[in-house]
Amino acid sequence: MPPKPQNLKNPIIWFFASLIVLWAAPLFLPTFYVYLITEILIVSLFAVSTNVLLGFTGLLSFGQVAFFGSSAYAVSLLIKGTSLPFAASFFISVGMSALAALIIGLFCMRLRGFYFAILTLAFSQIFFVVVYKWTSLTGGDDGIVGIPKKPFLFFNINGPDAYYHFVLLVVMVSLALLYLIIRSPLGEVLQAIRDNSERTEFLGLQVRNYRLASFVIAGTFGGVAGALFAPFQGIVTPELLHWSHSAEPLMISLLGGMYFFFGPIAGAVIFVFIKEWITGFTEYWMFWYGLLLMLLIMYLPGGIMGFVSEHLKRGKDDSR
Amino acid sequence: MSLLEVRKVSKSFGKLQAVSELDLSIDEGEVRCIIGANGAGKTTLFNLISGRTRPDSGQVVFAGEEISGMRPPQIVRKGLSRSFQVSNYFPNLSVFQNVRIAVLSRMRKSRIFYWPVSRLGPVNQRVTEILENFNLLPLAEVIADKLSHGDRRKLEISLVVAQEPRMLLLDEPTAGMNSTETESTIHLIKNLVTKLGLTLLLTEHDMKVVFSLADKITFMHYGQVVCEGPPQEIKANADVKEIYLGGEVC
Amino acid sequence: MEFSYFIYQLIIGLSYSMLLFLIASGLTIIFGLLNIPNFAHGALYMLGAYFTYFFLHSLPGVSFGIALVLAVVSVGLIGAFLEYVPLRKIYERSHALQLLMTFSFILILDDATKYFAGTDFLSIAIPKLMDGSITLPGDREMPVYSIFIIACGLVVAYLLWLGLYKTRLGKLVQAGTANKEMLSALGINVPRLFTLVFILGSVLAGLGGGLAGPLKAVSVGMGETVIITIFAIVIVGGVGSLKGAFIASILVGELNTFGVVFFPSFAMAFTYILVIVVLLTKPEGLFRTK
Repeated sequence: MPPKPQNLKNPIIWFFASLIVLWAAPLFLPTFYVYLITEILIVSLFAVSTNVLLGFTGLLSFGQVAFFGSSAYAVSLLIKGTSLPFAASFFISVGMSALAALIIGLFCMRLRGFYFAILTLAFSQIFFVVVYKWTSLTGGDDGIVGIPKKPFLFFNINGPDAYYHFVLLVVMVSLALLYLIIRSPLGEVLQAIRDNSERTEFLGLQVRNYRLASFVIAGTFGGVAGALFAPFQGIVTPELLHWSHSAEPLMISLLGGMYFFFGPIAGAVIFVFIKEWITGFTEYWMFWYGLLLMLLIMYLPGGIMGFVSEHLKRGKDDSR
Repeated sequence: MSLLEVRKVSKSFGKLQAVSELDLSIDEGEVRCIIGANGAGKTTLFNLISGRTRPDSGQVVFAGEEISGMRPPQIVRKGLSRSFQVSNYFPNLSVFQNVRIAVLSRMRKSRIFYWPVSRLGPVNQRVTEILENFNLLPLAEVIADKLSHGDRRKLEISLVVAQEPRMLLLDEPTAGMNSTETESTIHLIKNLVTKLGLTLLLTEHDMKVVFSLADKITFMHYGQVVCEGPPQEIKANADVKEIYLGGEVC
Repeated sequence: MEFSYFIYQLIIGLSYSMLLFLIASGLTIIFGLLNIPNFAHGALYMLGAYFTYFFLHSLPGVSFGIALVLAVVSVGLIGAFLEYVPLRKIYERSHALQLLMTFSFILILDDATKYFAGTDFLSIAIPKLMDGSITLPGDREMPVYSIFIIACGLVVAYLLWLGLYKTRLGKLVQAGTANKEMLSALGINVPRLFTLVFILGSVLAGLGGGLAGPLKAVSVGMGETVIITIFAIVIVGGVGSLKGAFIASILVGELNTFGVVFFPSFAMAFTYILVIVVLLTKPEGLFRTK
């Protein structure tokens, strides 16, 4: 039997159902949890965009942190230093991330595997050095503090609940777009490249162009996450751009399952909650998180989603 | 008029001369089989024609245009596609998705990023047709990695056919198949050639396949063409017998 | 710039270079043979410094030299564990997973160090024997310890050269770096060879850390700071090439030292620019002979 054409109704229903539930969440959740979910949403978007590269194109990039961080800095500088409306600052920052991803991507497409990873790392470290050393503009080590939440178009987004709703809308729309891209012909070609780039070339497709497209998509949505993050935290510091921070979305994707679109989201939920939970009784939460990841790579390289789907499949097979 | 012309092409790897000053000319609509022992340079020749490796010297001309030096995607776009000796597919995608990549490329739909691929009617229709032709439709949803060896070979060839090329390079299409699978594959290839009027260049170990398919046979030895001619002539050729056939087939 | 100042900076740069070489030589051998990009190599370097501090201060009457030896042995044991237990499971996996696994090592080792040693910067006193300085022409004071580090680097380079080119084990490592299949074809116990090489690499990182202890503030972040520079050296020199790592260490060490003198605000970026230029023009490294 040929596969049935994928039902589009289900994803759309899921989209609106989760949007409504999450929209209503502040009604019955204390502010602390509203903060927590806001963070999860931003981290989710950052991880899903990174996973377009890692899980769906087979590229390990350390560059994501440069686009996230530079967008966070750009939006902060525009908010504080100009009288531009927030919406304009937001889109300019995201646009700059996209442009930066395009330029850096053009260079990086020459290399593969580990060398690609190191090249993206070197580029993003140059972003870090610029931000760290250009004290007169970026505040250097101190970063930029007191970033206000200006109104977005006509909407007041000041206050935890209002900003949460703003983040929720932007993240949900971004995730929907990314989902569409992954399910589109382009997304399928990216997965083909991940599986076997040589064969993709021998089917007449210029692998380099598709990888570049993937790099720009990831960078752009990484930039969206960064632009949401700066006003949320109210402060940006150079650590946001440091290479060690770029491990975060990669680890989250791995944790949740990098071969699944929703893997990084599951990963982000677990990551943020584990952080909250373990920091409740020890400040050495990174130790436990590292140990968890190590065991995961050793025994469950498919991540949480991989584990769950494997068991669901097995269950189905047994019931037949 | 010859469709593919290989002119004085050489390639060496270190001290090993894999192909040396080789000439080859294939007419439109012809089915040509290249035979020769392992290491005769058959696969290297395929790599040189399809752009996987660059020749050290010489030219490859396809449909009047020099293609040596082009990258594989460009060559494919000219209408020259190849299969691989070791099945070369997308292991984590389903059989349906595997073929769909080839069809997307062929129908120039691969850059669409704003519409679900499952909703592209003509594309999916075409994939279904191809799978039907190859008797792969019942396996459409199987992940390619889980296929049997024979089905992998079929998938390999269907990927090339899905590109609707003018000329097809098949590297050992029946390698490792059992006799029923081999027979159905020969049948399939024959059908393709007559139905689509394809030009076909293939390498093959199985002499039964060679003699039942080829219009003309080229015999390679140590990177050079030893002799060339219609099947009967090659069968009778003393050099070929001595070097390769060893009497066991004829 | 006065000539004497130039010479002084050159020697200071050289001592930094040799320190980098100690660490980079271990990484390049591991990467060359095992094909694992070990980001936790910097963490092993950091552990070398912490263990040296620990043995120096917790055992009575222990000299710097003995503390250093004990530290190096400890780091070697940790390296053995990392190779034997987690890494062995993922040799067949993608570089991405391997890289992320070594990342998880960093998280574990960094936090464990914080737990046992706290987050304060620690300092190790320069051993008495070397606590002086030599006066160079132009009245520049050159610390004896810097000269000592240069000597250590040269001795280790010589020993590694001997080991790699004159012993059977070294020849196996070389053969395996060039061609993995050859090892199993020769009937070599490959897993054991991998463990040995990983221990050797860890020992070199630990030695670098212990020797760096008296020069720098010992802190948990020191591994993360150094590892990118070390990877830069390995890439510029060509993965798996000892000679390349030696020359690239000097290049990077002097570039940084003089960079700070001439362009204090942008010197940090020099290493990255060098890596980008090398990767874009000659990704196999500048000195790999193949």
